[in-house]
Amino acid sequence: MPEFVIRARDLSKTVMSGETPLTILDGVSFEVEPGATVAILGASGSGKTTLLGLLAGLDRPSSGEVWLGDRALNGLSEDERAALRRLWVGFVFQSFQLLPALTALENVMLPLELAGARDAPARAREWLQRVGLASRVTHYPKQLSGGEQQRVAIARAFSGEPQVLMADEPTGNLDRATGAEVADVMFRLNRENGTTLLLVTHDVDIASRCARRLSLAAGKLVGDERDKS
Amino acid sequence: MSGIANTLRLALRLLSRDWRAGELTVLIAALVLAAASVGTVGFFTDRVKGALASQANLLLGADLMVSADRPLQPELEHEAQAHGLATVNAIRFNSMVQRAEGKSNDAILTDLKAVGASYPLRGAITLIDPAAPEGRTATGVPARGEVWIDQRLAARLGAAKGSRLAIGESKLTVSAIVQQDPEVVGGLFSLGPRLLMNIDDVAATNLLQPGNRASYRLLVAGRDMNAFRDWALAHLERGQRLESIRDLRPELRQTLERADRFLGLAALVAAILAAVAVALAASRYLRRHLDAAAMMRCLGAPQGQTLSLFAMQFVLIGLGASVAGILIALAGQQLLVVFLGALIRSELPSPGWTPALGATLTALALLFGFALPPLIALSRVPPLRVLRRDLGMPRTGGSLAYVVGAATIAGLILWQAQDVKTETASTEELRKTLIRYRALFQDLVGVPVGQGALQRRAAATTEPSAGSDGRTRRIAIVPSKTAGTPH
Repeated sequence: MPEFVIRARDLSKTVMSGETPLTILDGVSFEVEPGATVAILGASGSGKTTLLGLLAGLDRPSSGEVWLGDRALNGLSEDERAALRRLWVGFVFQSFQLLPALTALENVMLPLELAGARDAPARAREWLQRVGLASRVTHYPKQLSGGEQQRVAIARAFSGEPQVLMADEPTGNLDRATGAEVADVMFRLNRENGTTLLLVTHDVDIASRCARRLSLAAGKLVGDERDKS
Repeated sequence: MSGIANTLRLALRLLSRDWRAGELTVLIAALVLAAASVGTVGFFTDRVKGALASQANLLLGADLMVSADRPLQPELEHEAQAHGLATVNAIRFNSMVQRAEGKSNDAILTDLKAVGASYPLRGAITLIDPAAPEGRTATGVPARGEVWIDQRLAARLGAAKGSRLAIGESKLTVSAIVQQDPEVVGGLFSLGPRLLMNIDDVAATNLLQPGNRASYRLLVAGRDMNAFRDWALAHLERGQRLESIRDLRPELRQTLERADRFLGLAALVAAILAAVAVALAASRYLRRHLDAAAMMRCLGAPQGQTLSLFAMQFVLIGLGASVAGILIALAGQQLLVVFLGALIRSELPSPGWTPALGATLTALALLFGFALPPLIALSRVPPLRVLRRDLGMPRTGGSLAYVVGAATIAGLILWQAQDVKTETASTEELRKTLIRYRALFQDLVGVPVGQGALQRRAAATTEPSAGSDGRTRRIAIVPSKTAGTPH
């Protein structure tokens, strides 16, 4: 196991807004240890989601470097980064991102099938059981409540047994009570599996459940707070 | 291997769900339409071609024929026999024929055919038999002193079985009425009613005088004609010519193939309209599956796997739509046969599977010609879309997509037209071809009298062999070198 699961060094992202360059991230550097729970906090437009995309290899930085484990993402092709994501990263999104054409079980099976797993149905069923949806395996997303959909998404994220769980505003589309329940499930599974959690949120309550909180403002890392152990 | 199986399973699952949700209706309907229209034309022409091929040798009454306006040198027959081939001599000429006794002295210009004992070498002469509505197959040829006449001559002369006819200086007895004679080729001499006689009676008629436009023929049949054909071609004398099924078929086939191409092009209009629907449906499919593709890329599917996943679905869609289109085409061509039931006189064989292949390839070509750019775009959707929905549509290949679509249409047109010349045929050429097709079609079908201008136009190459009720005619297809193109 490498010393750090995630490393970012001088990470910057600039895009063109018309004729004007717009800096979204500016020289962000940090490391995340295995098993850590890290919240990335910041106001809208602070660069949280952009940072998450760069750390997951979904996007390329304008400058700087990212490592997942001991693999630098910068030199990798799109497909190589996809392969690395398949092995290392699970995702939970604000809008759940379940495929409407697939049942709950099939959605959870998806990453397993893409990885060529032979026992995808059994494993997916087990994960749905762990998020409390054993009775909803044949339901399609539109037949599930928001909280249930997010729990399916959490099961999908964990089904590939990733090293890192990246969650982008996972309770953002849920009411407070449901959000708290979903967060409970996510933190519980994260703890049980020893996964590293990287959580983008502007919800201070959820962020406080993480052992470490990185604060972004205008694309810069302006805070790095850790719980005292 | 398990990766491919997994991808296929996933493709089937997504496809099944899309099907149930009605996402694929327009796409599938367009493909079914294309396959059905191309398949219907393909199956029908395939059946007509099959009938043509099986009847080609019957049209000639032999496998090969040497003909001339003077008696043929005996070496030709000797050489054919030396090659193990069957031979028979025949003479066709025109003469006035009248009743030898009785009330009518009307003389009728008749197409006489004097044949040897083993005529015909291919096919059979059918004689009218009151006991057999379908007619009776003749064994042998008219005996010496006897003639067989067709129904038209019988009607014109008021002759029947047992009547005596004056032919030149001979008086011969009608011993049968011919319903059908296989040898219908040779249009120059096929204008009048017909009479079949024994070749050994010809001399006694004293009709074959210098100046008579007789056609002396040697009919040959056998398994391997090539050696004799080569020899004969090298030894043909001036005025002699050689015709075989091989010579005959290209003419007939060319006519049918041209008709096939034009019908195919007509079917292609439907296919092109279907292409528009395919393009629209594929574009809609792209928009509705962008998120799914982005999610798969996010979950670690490489571009190739994402492309395979969607391409497999499209292959399954294409094959499924093709099967449905082929089934419709089979019913459609049968409907065409039923619709033309009163006209079709030949038994059409079952269609082959080549048209099914053509229909399938058409559907798949349309599908991938117009859906491949969106498919490739799907595989290239940036995975970042899972976080940034505002990224918009991936590039679908831009002008390349239009080029691929245009190339697909051009390829299909060329395939149907077979050559650029036909594709760019003038209206006049189209008209000629359709008339020729009409004539060919009439050869295989019986056309009720009074069908109007086209039939009158074709009269110059018409060889009547009317049924007893006089309601049907048969058109002889005459090689253009002897009768020209009817236009």
